Amino acid sequence: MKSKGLKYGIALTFIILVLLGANLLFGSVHIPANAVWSILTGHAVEKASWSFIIWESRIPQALTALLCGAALAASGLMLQTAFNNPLAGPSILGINSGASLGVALVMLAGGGTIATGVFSLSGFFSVILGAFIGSMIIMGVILFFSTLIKSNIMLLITGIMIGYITSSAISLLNFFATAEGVHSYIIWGMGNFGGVSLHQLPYFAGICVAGLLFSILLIKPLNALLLGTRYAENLGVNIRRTRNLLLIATGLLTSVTTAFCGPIAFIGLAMPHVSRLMLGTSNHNSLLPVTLLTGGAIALLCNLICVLPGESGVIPLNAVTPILGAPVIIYVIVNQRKIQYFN
Amino acid sequence: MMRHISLFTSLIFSVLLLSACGGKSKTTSVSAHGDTITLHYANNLSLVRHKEYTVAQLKNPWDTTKILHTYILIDKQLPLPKELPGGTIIRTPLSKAVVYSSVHCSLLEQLGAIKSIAGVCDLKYINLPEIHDACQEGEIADIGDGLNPDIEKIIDLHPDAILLSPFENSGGYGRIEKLNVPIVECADYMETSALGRAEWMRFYGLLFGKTKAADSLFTRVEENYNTLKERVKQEKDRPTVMADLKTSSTWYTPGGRSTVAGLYADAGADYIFKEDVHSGSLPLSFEAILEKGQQADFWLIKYNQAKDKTYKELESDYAPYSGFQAFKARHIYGCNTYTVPFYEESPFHPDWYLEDLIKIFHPSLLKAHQLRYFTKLAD
Amino acid sequence: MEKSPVILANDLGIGYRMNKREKRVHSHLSFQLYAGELTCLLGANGTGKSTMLRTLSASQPPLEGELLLQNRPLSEYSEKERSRTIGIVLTDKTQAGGLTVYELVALGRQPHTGFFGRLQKNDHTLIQEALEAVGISHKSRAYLSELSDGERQKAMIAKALVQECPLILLDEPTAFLDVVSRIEIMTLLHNLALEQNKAILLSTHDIEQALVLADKLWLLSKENGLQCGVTEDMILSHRMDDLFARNEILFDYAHGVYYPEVKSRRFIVVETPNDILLHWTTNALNRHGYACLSPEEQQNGLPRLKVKSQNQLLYTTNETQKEFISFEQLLQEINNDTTKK
Repeated sequence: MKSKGLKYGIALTFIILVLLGANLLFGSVHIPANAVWSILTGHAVEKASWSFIIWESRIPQALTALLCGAALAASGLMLQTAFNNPLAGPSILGINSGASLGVALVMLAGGGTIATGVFSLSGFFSVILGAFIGSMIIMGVILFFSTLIKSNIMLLITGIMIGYITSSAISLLNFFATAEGVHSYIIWGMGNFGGVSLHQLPYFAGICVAGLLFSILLIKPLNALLLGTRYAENLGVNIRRTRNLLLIATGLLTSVTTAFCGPIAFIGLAMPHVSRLMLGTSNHNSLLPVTLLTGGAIALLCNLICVLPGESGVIPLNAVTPILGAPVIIYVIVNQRKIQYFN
Repeated sequence: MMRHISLFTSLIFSVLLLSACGGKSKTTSVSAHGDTITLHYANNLSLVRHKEYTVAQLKNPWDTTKILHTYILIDKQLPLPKELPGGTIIRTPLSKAVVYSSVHCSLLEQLGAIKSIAGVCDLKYINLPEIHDACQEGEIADIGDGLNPDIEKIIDLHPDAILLSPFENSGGYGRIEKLNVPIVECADYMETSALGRAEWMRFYGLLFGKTKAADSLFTRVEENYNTLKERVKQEKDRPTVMADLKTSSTWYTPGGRSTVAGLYADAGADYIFKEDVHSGSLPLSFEAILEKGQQADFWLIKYNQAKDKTYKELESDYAPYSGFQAFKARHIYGCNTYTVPFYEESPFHPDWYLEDLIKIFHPSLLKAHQLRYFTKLAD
Repeated sequence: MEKSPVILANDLGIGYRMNKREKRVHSHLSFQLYAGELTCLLGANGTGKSTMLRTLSASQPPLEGELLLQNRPLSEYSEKERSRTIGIVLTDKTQAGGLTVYELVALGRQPHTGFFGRLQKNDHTLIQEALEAVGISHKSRAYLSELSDGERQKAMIAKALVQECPLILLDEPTAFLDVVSRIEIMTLLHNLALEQNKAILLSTHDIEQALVLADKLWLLSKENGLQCGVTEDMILSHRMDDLFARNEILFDYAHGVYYPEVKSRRFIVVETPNDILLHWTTNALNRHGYACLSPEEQQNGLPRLKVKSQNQLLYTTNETQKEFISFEQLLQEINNDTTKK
């Protein structure tokens, strides 16, 4: 099994590099390949705007997609194992909804800015902050309930209910908002990998990588949790503490991706299943790293599809991810009996 | 000029004729005996004056082969003619209208017809103190949200008309259609030229019995506009201009045949998408805009927030904005619709809008003029 | 031989605590569990076997009393210490179908490995040994979901072995298994207890095998609490009678099984040449509602069966005398008689 994981890991890394290249070569504006190469190697090209596009737009966007995809896929995997639920995804605990609520408050109630007496943050930055704070608050609420509730299923249901409550608050905000505000909010909800500038990229990457490292530290208890909480406890896993660490890791990863890129559907739900299908194992030693890589790869692929219309515009991200993700999930459900990890 | 004289005479003539007849009327067919009021700019509106009524026909702006709505305007003081062509009957002048949009409220204020307004929607977005005062006094009712108005309040008012903006495929307006109150679908915003939109004020003037005021207002606007346009024509130098900001992954910018694009052209500037053939908005990516607009001389933006935008804020919104030449050379002009009544005034005062644009693009031509809507962005 | 018990309980009370309320399942229990022996916990459903096991594995706290594991109070053990001392085997469903047998057993090394769970050479050796000890090393590369129930249980036992715990607790390990697997598992557990000097306690409903292979019996019932002792002592002091508080169930001391009591007003006298024929003839007749009397108890007017061999069955009533060559024929006749009357 180790060698299979290694083989897939190498193949996926190669695919990711190819997709990264494709994301740099293709965009709404046609830039010839040799120009792209010149720009990357630091030479001048005929149009200054091209260099700008590559460095300020395409490179940050591609790297954001890669990190986002990995972060969401890792979150999805951890949640599916910890809650023994193949339909769990990063959005299931309502953390996504918390981010959406934060954004809704900023865009719809705050008129697009956060302004207090002392300082005011404008536009995009206030959206990021709103999303991050919103999701962190919800995560805190879930953690709090996690100390009160022992059963995993009950915690899951609590998270889903919290998600519904935040959704209703968002509906209210939308109802009383201007047409502009609602439009902005809807556009935000469609997801966007282009929201991280080159300057912000190190912070974004830093938080993502921190969350991913966290998840790698959880590989051992996650494997134990495959046997259920009683066996895991018997193997020395502190269930409460592990669950809390897991909530923090997924909370961090979900918050940062939703804050910068909007709520992104399906990657977190579908990619763990894709990895399981490819590897044929539930062992997180190889499953987690491969899931990270498939998540990154699929995100890069989606990003590429979004710019297919070329000069005439872009397809919103959340219109593309389900088209790739839903067939995977349906396949998994239909072939449940044949798939060993469901038995 | 000549047109106006003939308009006036026919108006007075028909009023005298009608009052002389005192009630007895003959049926007249629409096309045979009607007097078309010539409209030079508005494409989707036609006004035909008959002896006892005026027919206003609104074309469907999304499918100009179809008619959106036909209205039969009949003076209140006259009895209803026995035979009428098909259409919605409106007794004019309106005195108790529910007006959804602040744009039309603003126009009515200029025409001196505020007393004819009985109710408004989205009061908080109306920047007119007269309206707010009237609301305080209880003379004008707040009907609530334009997308979901308070039906009971509307019924309570017994309005003689409701003025709202139609949408493509709107599927009806819900319960207000059942109230037996004529709904005036104000499709002026769908005109593709600035003067075309403004010319609709003549229709509204007819509705509110302010034809003289409306006609003379439009004349002034038209004259101002064309005079300004002429002055600019002589300028050889045409700077390039780009518009608007990015929302999430899409940058919406006006099409090449839109009203805004027409204004830019009339103001002596080359809009970066002037070759485009769409009259609506173009949803483009940042790259596409950068490709065409990186070297643009001017950048005009509109936004709505408590504090005015600054270059710093733009950069923190989206760092690549600083890659545009207009950003670097500090040639960005912004209009904060939170504080500036741009949307209320400019539809029926395209001359003021044009003035601002010319001041931006060719400042030497309008040395005395102070910018009305736009300001240079602060650092 | 005075060995120190692996588990020592004194005046133990077990049950549940919900907020302030207590549901006490058993009180004042005192017992010892020793290494090198297989101990079977028997009792009717609902008597508290699972509660007992959960209390011993520290999944739930005792309500009162003293519970010592290797001479230290169980409550003082840290999670890590517990994971190296107590191994459990349950019938829980898992999501581990996608793990290979090897990977599953390897999980048992978690209490002994570092942060990432990396396996060293001696870990691999232990895993191999455990796989061989339970007899599934030929399936080490198969997926858990591909195994039969019996094989899966063996894998779970191997995992518990690899934890290197002196105490192993099993909750109905042979439930759902066929008789071959049941015997295999029980034999395996007994051998492990003996050869690796482990204290193994399991709860089971398989009375038959328990009486054969268990060194000690723990009999749990609501009326009599917990009674412990060596298997034969417990049987011969008639403890098995009180285990199930139902008068309709009787314990067959000769054969070590429970059977239903026959309450019947029909009697038949049975004469057989040996115990085997007597046992099975009685079995058939009881099933058809006849109580059997020996020739000495013969009364007049009763039907009589003389069994010479399994193919020579002489049946005599007041009206007839017939000879049958199989039980099938005999029982048909008897049924006819019964319906006639």
